Order: sequence, then C-alpha cells, then structure tokens
Amino acid sequence: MKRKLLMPKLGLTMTEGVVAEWSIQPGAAFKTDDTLFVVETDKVANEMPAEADGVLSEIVAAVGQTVAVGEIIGYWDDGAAGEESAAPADAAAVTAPQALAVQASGQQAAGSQAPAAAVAAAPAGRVRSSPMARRIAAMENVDLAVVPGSGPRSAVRAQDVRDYLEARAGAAAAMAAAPAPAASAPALPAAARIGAAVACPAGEGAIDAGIRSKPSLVQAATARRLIAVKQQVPHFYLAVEAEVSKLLALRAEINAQDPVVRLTINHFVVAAVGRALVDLPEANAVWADGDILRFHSADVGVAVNSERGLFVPVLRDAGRLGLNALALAGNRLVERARAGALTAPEMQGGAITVSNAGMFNVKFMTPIINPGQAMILGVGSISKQFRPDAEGRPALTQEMGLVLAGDHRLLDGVSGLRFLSRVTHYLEQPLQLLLGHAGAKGAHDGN
Amino acid sequence: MAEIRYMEAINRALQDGMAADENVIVMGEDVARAGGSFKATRGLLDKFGARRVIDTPIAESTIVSAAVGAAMTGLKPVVEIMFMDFITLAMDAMVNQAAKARFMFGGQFNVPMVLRTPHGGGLNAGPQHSQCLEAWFAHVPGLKVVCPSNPQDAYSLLRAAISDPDPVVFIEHKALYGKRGEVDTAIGAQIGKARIARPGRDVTIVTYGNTVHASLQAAAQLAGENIEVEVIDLRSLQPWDEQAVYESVSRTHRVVVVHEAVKSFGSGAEIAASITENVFYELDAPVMRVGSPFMPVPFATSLEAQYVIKPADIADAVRVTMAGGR
Repeated sequence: MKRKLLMPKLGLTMTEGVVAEWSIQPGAAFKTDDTLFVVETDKVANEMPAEADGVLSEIVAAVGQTVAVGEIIGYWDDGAAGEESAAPADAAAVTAPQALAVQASGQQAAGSQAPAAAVAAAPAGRVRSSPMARRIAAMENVDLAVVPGSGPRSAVRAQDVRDYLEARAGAAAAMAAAPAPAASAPALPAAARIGAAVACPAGEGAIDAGIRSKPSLVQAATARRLIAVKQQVPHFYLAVEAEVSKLLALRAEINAQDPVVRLTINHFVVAAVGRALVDLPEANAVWADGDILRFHSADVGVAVNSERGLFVPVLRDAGRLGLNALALAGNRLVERARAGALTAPEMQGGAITVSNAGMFNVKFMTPIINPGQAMILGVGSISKQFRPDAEGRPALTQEMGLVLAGDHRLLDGVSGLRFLSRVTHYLEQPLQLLLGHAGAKGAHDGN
Repeated sequence: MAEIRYMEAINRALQDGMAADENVIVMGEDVARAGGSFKATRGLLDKFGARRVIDTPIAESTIVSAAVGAAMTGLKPVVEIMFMDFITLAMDAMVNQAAKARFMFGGQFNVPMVLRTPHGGGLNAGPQHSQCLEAWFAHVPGLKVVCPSNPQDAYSLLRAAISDPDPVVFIEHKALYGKRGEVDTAIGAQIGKARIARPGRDVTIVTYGNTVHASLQAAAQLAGENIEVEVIDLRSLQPWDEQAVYESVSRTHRVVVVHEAVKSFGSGAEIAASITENVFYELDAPVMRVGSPFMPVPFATSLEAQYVIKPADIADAVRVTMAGGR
C-alpha cells in the first residue's frame, strides 16, 4: 500500500525544512528505524527514521528543496496489499516518524503512546501563552514549552519569558565563570551548550540536585551529530606552533593603510588553509560512504559562534581568492551566520573547517571534525615566547598554537603533517599570501 | 482663561459659531424661549433672533428632516434632541437622508448639520431618558460621532462639528453639564483625535464621555497598588483614533475598554476587535471590556446605583487584565 512521506514538524516554530539528503534511492528497501532522509532546519540536520519496514517508491522533493511542514516529499510502500490508504489512517501513518523524531530530540514527551495517539497528542503540546509572550519567545528563540507560566491555567505571559531569559543568561554566566573543563572550550559553544541548563540555587547546606530540562532541538541535534562524528571518524591530532611575527606585522601594516576591509588573523588563517588545499589537492578530499570524494575548489569552512549555536558556513574558493575578496566574503558569511540567515547550501562542502579560539586565552584547541569533512584546524591564541636563536641566545617570538584534527581513513600522519606544514609555511611567510597563487594556473586549466 | 461649566461651554460654542457664520441656525424643542431643557441654548434667542433660533413642535422626525433639508440649501443647522432616547423618531432622517446625501447625489449636496443630544444615566431619568445609543450612529457610513468629556473639548469639538461639511452627531452627557473646567476659546480641536487623559505604563483604558472620569478615579486608586494606568479619552467615536490606541497598547500591552453603553455589541467590541486585528502581538492579556449590563436602565435610585459603571468596576477589570485574563 502506497503511503506518503511528509515534511515533519520538528519544533514549535518550524514552518518549513530543507531536504538535505535522501539516504536511500527509490526502489530500495529499508527496515524500521533506518534513516530515510535528512531534514535541515536552521543549521541542524535531522535524520528521519522509518517507522516500519518498506520500500521507497518515489522522491517528490529533491535534495536542497525547501518544503513546507506537512507537504509531501515522497512516497513509500509498506508491502501490504491495497490502494493508497484513506486520509485519516494515512495521516496517522505519515505522522508517526515525526512523532518519533520529536521524541528523540527531546522536544515533547509523547511517551509510549501508539502512533495514532501520538498524532492526537501533538496538538495538545500547544502552550497557553499571550501573543506578546509568543512574539518575544520567537525573537529570542525560546521554546515556550519550557517556560513556566504564571497566568491563568499556567498561561505563559511576557514577563515569564523575560524571567526565563534572565535565568538562562544567569546560568550561562555562571557556567562561563565556573572553572569547569567545559568552560575551557569556548570555540565549541555548541558542545558547551549541551550542558547548559537553568541555574538552580541550592538551599543552605542542601545537595543541589539541579533542575533537569530538555535540550533545544538545535542542542539535541548538535549533540547527536558530534557524538556520531567523534565515534565514527577516527581522529588523529597534530599540534604545532607557528611563528607569526611577520604575519602580525604585515596585518598591522595593511590595516594601517585604512583598507576597504580590515583584515583579521582569521582571514590570513583561512587564506593559508585554502592555499595549502590548492598546493596539496590530495588533502582536498573527504570520506563519503566508503568512497573518496575529491573537490576541485579549495573551499574552507569557517566556524562561527552565534547566539543561535555554532554555524559552519563554507567560504568558496578560499584557496584562490585575494585576501581582500576573501575577507569581504568571509565577513558576509559571518554576518549571515549571526543573523541566522544561512542557507543549507552555504553550509555544505569543503574538506576542512577553521575553528578559531584565538580571541580567548587558550594555547591549543583540539577540535572535533565538522560532520562530512575530513579535517579541522583548531587555532589557539598568539603568545610571546623566548626561544633560542641560532646562537642560542633568547629571542622573542610570537607563536600561534595550531592543532590539526584529521580523518585517519583518508589521511595518515605524514600527509597530515605535509598539509599542516604547508599552512604553517604560509602563516610564517605571509607575503606569499599576497601573491597570486602558484597553483592557480594549473587550476584554471580545468583539472 | 475662565473656568466655566460644560453646559456653558456648549452655549459659548453655539454663540461663537453663530457669530462667526450667519448660516448657523439652532432648532429644537424649547431651545429658544426656554433656553433648552439643560440651558445650553440660553440667551441665543435674544442675541440672534427668532429667524436663527427656532422653537419647534414636539416632532423629532420633522425637526431633523427639516434640518437635513435646510442643510442641503446651504444653512448649517444645529439641532437639539432633548434626550438621545428620542432619536429613534428621527432615525430615517439621520441614517437614510443626512448620512447618504453627499454620496447619493455625487457630491452635489452635502449636509453640514449637527445633531446635539445628551445621553447617559445616573440622574434617575428612567429607561427612556438614560440610554447611550452612540454605537447606532458610529455604525452608519456618512455620520461622524463626537463625545466630549470636559468643557474644553465640549467647546472646541462643537466648533469643529459646526464647521464640518458633513453631519455630526454631537453627544453630551447629562451628568457632565454641571462639570467645571477651564476653556480657552482659541483652542481648536480635530474630530478623530484622542487625548491621553493620564499617562501610564501598565495598562491602557480606552474610554470616552463620562466614563473618562470614572476611569481616572480608578486609575488614581490603582496607582496605590503600583499599577500605572494610561487613560485615553477618545473624544470621537467615528472616526476613532486607532493610531493613538495602538501606540498606547504597544507601550502597555494590556487594554480595558470602558463605556457606559451596554457592553453587548457596543463600541468597546469594535475597539477590542480592531486591537486584536492590528496589534495582536503587542497583547500580553485578553482585551477586557467594561460596559453596562444588558438591560434597560432602571428607574429606582437603588437599582440605577447598581447599574451605573463605578470606578471599582473598572479597577476590577484592570486587575483581571494585569493578572493575564480570566
């Protein structure tokens, strides 16, 4: 019997989603809980499991397509005899995976109800709230379901949302202040956020049992994806210190000329990584379901921390862009990321991401590879060091701690080091970043 | 600047309006020799003569019909209907003739008349002399409806109504006639502009006419409970100052609409509905309405005292909306 697959609603505020991936092709069979497709909302991808065994019969919404919640994105066959089921039963069937996904993400506790009951339970998840409370919640990205309401029959009022936001900000500040290990990874706020919860002031001498709360959809999906990538991708790490005195001087000199766009250290790092990808095309590849996928373009992801979570927009052709153009394009992506305006394609592709924690006082930052990529470069802050010069006398140097995490299925220590030393070379001899790239000629031959 | 009574402000506006334009005439029962049942037309006969201040028979339909005809010939009649309750007898002239003449004759005629009439209870005048029927007129395209709450507005708005090229229903409240206030005859008014009678940050009361004063009393009472009420005196119901109300709602996020007319199907329903249509996401609580109970106004003093809207009723509604509704 033919059944519909609908765009699921994965959060109270979701109105549409992007079909990021079809995990199987039409004609292929699947089992219960196999991932059928991936839906992207904001930055997160949600894997949608099958509710039952079946065969994918048709794909309606292609990858990259934006589809409204509840619209048909494909059809599957449950193997039972009969025509397309009647609407009510059908609705129950297609909604079941949505209920599952919602449960999995911790948004709503549908419990162990039967699929049909879960469908009925979905509207009951509606939160009584004033229009203004809803507007503030939407602006601040707050799930009203987690806000305690003080109005009639526990309705959430504007002040309740403000109180909640204040408590959350207090909790975040407390976390940042605490000398916990989590606080030492500021460049991975998404990971840190997973632990964030509303602060609970402990009573005098009492054991603080804390307040348990559900992570937001973004938090839950981030957690799931990071666990997956950390478990499934064999990471290896290479740490070096790059001597960046020349880079700092060059940057200061350029910025002193009052350029159209001020260059940051990160612009130089992204450029160096891009140039290294062009130099070493074998490094510009990812492991894709058992295949090796090589890219032509030297695209580099840039980790951007925002209030809405960690985003990784991809800077196209970073290996060949001039520093000016690279800085302009990079700044635009950062702005779009902070505004939550990034589209799914803007976050796809690239073999490597640059994650810069240099603005925090951290010597080395050991990052987790961005899902789908093969490398990530963790950038630490720059510190002054005395190093012996050729004669053994102390000389003051400025060093930047770099840690390259690589996917060992693709790269080994040698190829990783080759890549990292290429990056270090550009950072230590930054004038080369100002020249046209040597590899550009070959690249434009259409290799 | 003299402090005069509301009734005297009306009288002054009629005098000044008649002096300024010889086309302005006054018509009604007992308006000439007797000076009006509430003395609003006192002295006009002596000043302007019987050709311009006309006592009529007790025949409301004829009075208003004649005024509509006179207005179409170029005069500017100001008609007094002794009690708003009697307007039923002149409904055809107002609703079917005055309101539609400009539209139906393609702009060849307009009806620059004013229909003055007192509404409201609290004076033990019984069910046929106490009603607030302004919503009837606010519902008719072509009519303007004005309802001043103080002597200054009574003067300025009546001058504006007399100057208006189209029919204006000018509603006075019987209980306000004796109310004193400073009147500056140099101050003009625009029909359709509200005023903030009291600024506040927590909740907006939208009201007009006599309930402005009950609302101000309620606001003073609530200030003692640390609730700062903004009172908006609409001054005019058709058109009403939507902008001023929406701006206030955007500051306070809570609204109570108060009027003396019965609550059901009243002006408050229109205002509340418009607020939800236009500034829904500013609201942090349901819009509350305070209006009279859905029944005729009682005659007996003791019953009417229960019927009229008291500051305590308004304060209760404010507290409900502050708590987020029922």
